Amino acid sequence: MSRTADAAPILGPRASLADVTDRVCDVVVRQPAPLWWWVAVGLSGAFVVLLVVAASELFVVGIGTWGVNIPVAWGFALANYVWWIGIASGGTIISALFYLTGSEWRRATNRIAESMTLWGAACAGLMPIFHLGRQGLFYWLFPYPNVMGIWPQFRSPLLWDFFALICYIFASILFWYLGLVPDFASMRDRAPTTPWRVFYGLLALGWRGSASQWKTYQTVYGILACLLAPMVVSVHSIVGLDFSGGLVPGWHSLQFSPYFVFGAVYSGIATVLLLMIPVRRLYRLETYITGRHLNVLAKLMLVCGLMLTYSYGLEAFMPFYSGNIFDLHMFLNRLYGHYGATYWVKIALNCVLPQLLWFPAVRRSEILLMVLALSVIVGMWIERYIIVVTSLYQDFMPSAWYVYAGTVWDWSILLGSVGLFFTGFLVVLRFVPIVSISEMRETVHEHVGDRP
Amino acid sequence: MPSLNGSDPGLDLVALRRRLAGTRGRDYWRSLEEAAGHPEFARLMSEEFPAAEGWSDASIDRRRLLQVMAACVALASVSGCGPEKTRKQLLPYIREPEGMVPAVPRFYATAATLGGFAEGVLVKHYQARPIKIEGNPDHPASLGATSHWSQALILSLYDPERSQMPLQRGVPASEQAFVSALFERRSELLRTHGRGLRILTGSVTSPTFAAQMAALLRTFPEARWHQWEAISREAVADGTTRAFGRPLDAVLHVDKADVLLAVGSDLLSWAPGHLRYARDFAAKRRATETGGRMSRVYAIEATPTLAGSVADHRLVLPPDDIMTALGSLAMAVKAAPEGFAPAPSPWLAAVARDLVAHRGAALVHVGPELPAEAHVLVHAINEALGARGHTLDMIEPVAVGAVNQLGSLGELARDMNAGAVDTLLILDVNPAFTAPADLEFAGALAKVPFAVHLGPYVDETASRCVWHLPATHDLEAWSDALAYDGTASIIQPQVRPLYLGRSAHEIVDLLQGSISPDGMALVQNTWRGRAPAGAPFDGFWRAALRRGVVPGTAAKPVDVPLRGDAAAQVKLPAGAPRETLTVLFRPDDGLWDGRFADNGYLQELPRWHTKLVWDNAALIAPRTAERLKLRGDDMVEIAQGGRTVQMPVWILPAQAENCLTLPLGFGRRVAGNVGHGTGFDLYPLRTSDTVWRAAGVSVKPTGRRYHLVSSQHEQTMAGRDMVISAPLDQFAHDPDFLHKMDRRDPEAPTRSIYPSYDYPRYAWAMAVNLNSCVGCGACVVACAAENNTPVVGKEEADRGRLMHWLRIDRYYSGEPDAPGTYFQPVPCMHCEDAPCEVVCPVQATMHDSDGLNVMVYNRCVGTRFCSNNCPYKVRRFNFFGFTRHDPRLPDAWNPDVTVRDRGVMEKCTYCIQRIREAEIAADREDRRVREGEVKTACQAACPTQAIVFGDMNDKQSAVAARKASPLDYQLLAELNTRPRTTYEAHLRNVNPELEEE
Amino acid sequence: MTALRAVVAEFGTVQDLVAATRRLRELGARRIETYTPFPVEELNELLVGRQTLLPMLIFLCGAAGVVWGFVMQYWGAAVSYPINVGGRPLNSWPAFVPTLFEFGVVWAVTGGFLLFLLFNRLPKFHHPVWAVRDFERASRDAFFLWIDATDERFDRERLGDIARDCHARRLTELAA
Repeated sequence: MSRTADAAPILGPRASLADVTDRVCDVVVRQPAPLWWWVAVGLSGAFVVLLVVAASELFVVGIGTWGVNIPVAWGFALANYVWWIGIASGGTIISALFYLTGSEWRRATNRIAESMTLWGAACAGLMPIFHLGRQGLFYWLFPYPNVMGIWPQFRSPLLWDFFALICYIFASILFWYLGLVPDFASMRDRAPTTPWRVFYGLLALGWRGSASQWKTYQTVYGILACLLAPMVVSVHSIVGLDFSGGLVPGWHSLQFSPYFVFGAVYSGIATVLLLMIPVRRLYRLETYITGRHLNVLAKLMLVCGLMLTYSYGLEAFMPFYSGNIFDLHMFLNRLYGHYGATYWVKIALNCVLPQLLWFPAVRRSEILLMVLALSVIVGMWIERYIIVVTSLYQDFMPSAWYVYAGTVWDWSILLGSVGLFFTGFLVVLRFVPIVSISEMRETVHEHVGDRP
Repeated sequence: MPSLNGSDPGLDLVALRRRLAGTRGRDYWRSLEEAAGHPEFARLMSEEFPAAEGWSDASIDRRRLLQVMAACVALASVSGCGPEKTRKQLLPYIREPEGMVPAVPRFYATAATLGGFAEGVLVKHYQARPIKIEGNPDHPASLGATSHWSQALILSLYDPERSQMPLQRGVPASEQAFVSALFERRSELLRTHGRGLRILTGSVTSPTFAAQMAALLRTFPEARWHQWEAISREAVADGTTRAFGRPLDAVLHVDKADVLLAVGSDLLSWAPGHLRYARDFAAKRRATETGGRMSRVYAIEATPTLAGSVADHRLVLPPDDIMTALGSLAMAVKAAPEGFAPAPSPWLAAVARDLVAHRGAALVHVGPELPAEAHVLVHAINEALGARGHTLDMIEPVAVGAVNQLGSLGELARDMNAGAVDTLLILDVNPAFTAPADLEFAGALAKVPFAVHLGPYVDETASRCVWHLPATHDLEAWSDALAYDGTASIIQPQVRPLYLGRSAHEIVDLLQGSISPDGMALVQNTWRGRAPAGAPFDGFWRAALRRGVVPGTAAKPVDVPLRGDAAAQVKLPAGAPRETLTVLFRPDDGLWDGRFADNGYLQELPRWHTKLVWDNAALIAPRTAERLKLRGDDMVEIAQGGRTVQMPVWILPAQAENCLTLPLGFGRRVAGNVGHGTGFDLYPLRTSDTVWRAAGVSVKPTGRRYHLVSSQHEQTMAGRDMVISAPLDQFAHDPDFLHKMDRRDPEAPTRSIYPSYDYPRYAWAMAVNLNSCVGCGACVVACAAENNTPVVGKEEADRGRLMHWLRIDRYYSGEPDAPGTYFQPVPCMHCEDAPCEVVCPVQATMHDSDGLNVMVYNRCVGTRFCSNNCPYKVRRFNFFGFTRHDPRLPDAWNPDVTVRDRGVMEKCTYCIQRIREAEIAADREDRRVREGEVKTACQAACPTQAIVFGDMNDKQSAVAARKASPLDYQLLAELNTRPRTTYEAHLRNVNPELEEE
Repeated sequence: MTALRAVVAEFGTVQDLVAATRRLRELGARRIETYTPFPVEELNELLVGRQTLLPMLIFLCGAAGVVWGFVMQYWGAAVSYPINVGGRPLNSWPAFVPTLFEFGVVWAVTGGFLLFLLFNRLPKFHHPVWAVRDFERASRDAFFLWIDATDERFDRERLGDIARDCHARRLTELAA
């Protein structure tokens, strides 16, 4: 990141080795949970209850309570799925890819990003199971020896996706935990009471920070980052294949994989911003998460927005270039057909509004950043809804065309998953150092030195 | 964009017309909204943000059909024991004709009747339990085909809502009680020579019943026999009588007609013998297969009929103009004197020339909905065209006691009101629902002290009679009936009455004083008299039962001269003023006159042209809707002569201006849970003098809306080659034109990059000939009956969850007022490179060794990707446990076919159970499956032989022959899915003179 | 006087720690270890050196994952239960590739994490160095140097000099 005039310093005043350690640890181990935390947990918890109710209705009565039909056999669930996995992927990109680029600003943000990834992936993981006709049998996608002697169908993009998702969630957890080990050690050493000390002591696995440990740690962490960066790209590319692997006009497109990755990073960064701004205020981390970080992320969001806009452009260009009547009909129908409104809202939220980020003033305003981030997140959901629904509802056979609309239960699942995400993230806030302390110490060491 | 109708906000038809002005012929128009370019945000929003009740009525217990579950459970135990093995012997259908499914199950011949006329059927028995209806190839009215009504018989047989016990004033009573009451009455009547005794039936062709009635009338000289069919054919009889001086029936030889003019014709839809006519008709339309000459078909009609929709040229006219047109035509073909009618329009003149040019091979047919005058004219025209002896014959009337039904019913009503009727037997008709409104029949019933209703359901009439007796189902009782051509069939019971049922024969016999009526004995007595002398009766009887027809009973043509002044005496109507509205009453495509209202298959059968399910609507022409500022789903009040009904309107192309077509049969007030409360009752608007049409009608919007549900929402092909249609000449000049207009992307590979599998054993395939198909829907119901596809109800149908494995798509092209209409049956294509299979993550759908695309229900987890990836959208998904909640008796399911549970995908299997059955039989005899040994349910039912199924590997097979045809094409060939189901392009034998029309 | 286990020096800055460590290395000390709140490059060079085995092993894990993935898919689709799916060949290997990548990565990541524990002898919940006063600051802002008494070049006096020269805050003697 070039230090442009509008770039704030990467560290605020009063930064020191002790200070960074104490600030991050003490909110967790030395201070009681603040009121805002309880309120937030209460709110998001209510939505988790909604999720439980909606899921029970689904399991008992059946998928018919959703709006899905023939021809639109996929609806909210798939849109939600792609949306969540996209948000998750964005987190990994920040923590893994920018580790490889050695970006200094990443150190303050990667923990938030990774925690977001975990819960985003968890919400994503629910959706494909919910949307099955016989949810109880989802495990039939596992390649396990069974009495039928039958295997999964390895040619199906859905199966690739199933494997990709599981591998991705597992790898993300390990990566997240590996980064946490030294910080858990700090927590252990800061913990005032024995129970906490034991709790974090166990999590820290007995980390001492000896030179050899650090060396191994760095080697492994680096390699894992090298592995996760391409993995997250591949995972979302495979999500793209879920659609482009089919022959439905509006899905069957070569650009889907990169297109989906752009979208994923876009929504991921937006979500990181959305979470980071309140966290730095509420946890008084302004010294370590500075305007510089917001500025960098804002710029990244702008870049992703532009890449996505390019994909939209290509999507618009291809039907006319190929002259395929099905693609043409699908695309024009997207713009002016039954769901035309959604398309223009998508363009407004994902392409037009973010252009404000060209102005440094906007990038400095936390409120505006949060608003833009939110609009991008909503816009990205609408994009997935459009991809799923407007491609299916008028495909090849005019006689089979029909419209789709989500029911109250569809919306409940969506809102419920949002509740689950925030509940999970709040739990992380409460028990995990939300900024990577050991890495921040390096920053402090480089910029301020070791003296208190 | 959805349909012409549905809940679309106001569409600007003026602008539309302007835009359509340019388009012509094969330049398919987008559906009205599309053309009007009117996105419907109202509906969008309502669907994006569903109201709160959305979820509650999604819950399955809200589905109407479910309400009967209790009854279903209660009656699960009740079941027949198959044909009685005791005293009365039934005889299996042994002499298996070419192309019959081999009989592991046994087949018994009998006949189904509609309006009294017989349609020969074979009933498939599985362990002595009827499970499926097939056509009887030996029966002239069937030739192996069946109507959708016959296909639905099994469902109604096992309907737990059938009437199950005698009712006295609505209170269950024993049959003995009724019998003793009847005998009491009888002794009364004997003293009064039957004064005050009336019997009301539908149209009757049964010789046995005729004989019984004759005897009864001898016992009770003063008794009267009345008949009433709501779908009256009186105009036909009346017209014939006026033309020939005495009642006669016409038998058509459509297969001999090179030029056919169908005037408001029910030739292909419900005329007696319509199946046979459709078969002959299709044979002529399919002539290119055999190299014969294709017939040319013209139609003149006020509202779309099947015949009109498959015609090469259709003229849409209001009824009065049709009369005038017939007059002009009669004049033009020298059947009527000069100046008899206005000079024919160019269109009519061309048709007349064409007809005359094909003298002896021309035929004009007119439906019962046109007045007697029309029939007189048509007889004259046919005579002038030398049709008799070639394309039609006159025979003695088939129906028994052909009385003036309307008059006789009116007389009955009058007498009832006058208190002159003290004993009334209503046998298997529902006059309280169907009688003309002006007769106030229901009210009059109350004045009859001893009114007895015999019927399969407790209906409107039953609830007003003192006594109700459950009638036996057509498959439960002995009887006999004649076909359209006089051929007699013995109706033998297929199963002991499931409930306490009596047949009309038995009731009449009781009235005759017999203690234990014996249907079989009655029928046998009739036929003893008619059996060929000398030969033992037993042999004759067995033969008749086996074949399902009594040999040599077909009526001989009679040569009665046409009255010379026949045409001249006809008074042509003055022609009503343009702007006044006319309503046309028609039987519903599924419910007929309302008698099938309790049959889920028929309620859910998409109507031929509107594709509506579970409702009827006032069908109205686009221009008229525009003039009256009406949109689809608008509730209107239709008033005529002080009588009013309220119902929604549905905009229908090819409908005559200022004519509203009102399908009867819906709006049953006393019916089971299936039939109750669907659609709107139109009989209150129908009086004795407006049986078919009522002029001077006023229509005014009520401002309210109603939600009609249709199974097809896009009316056009959206510029795609779903149905390929071309003029016959183009094909004649260049038989290979189809392959020249290559519909694939030239870039795209014509083959898969993968080596294709070979199917050395069998390669099952299907070919659908679009020149044959008339869109009657028999295949749809046959498929449902064979494959246990559930009935889902209106709400689920509205959510796009109909479960039909086979659907008939209906497309329009050209001008909305007089469009071309195309029917296209769409089953699973069984693609060799099936897109659905590749995307299934659990191998629940795959190919078998014969190249069938099979569905493994037990393995399916319900990702539904296969449906998304099916370009033909033929896959169906069990969004709910539809079959779990189906009200029919467990016995009604076809035991050869898995019943699917919640959350699994299903689709057309090419009736794999029938294929396997044949393969097993063949393997046992160490031979290959013979050509025609496997018939899919749809193929077997199809009256027009549009569907051919067989083994492609057998080069001699019919399916191989069809696929060799230059007209054979694949649906969406550009996707290179290599479907096993292919279509034969649609040809139009256009009259060059009318090309411009 | 009891035998000495080790002497632990506490420093305030990385520079002091590094200087002290370098001095000891120059004197040929072998059994020394440092404890820092964050990784320090110089110490890696002084005490650990290059690590080449670890990446190699992680790569092997990944490779194993890919091989396993392909064998499983090939076996399942083409050998164990061959089914004609949409006319595609039984061994349609291009369709197997996407999952192979995921298998490779997840095996490598898992292997990497396990090797991390193995190489660092973790988890290990007891260590004498935790007896040193203020050692919890090793994970905060203090830098510790462990000199093992068993080192043959161990010399208590010279150690004191070095500590003084390098501004060690404190020297702690750990008894065996």
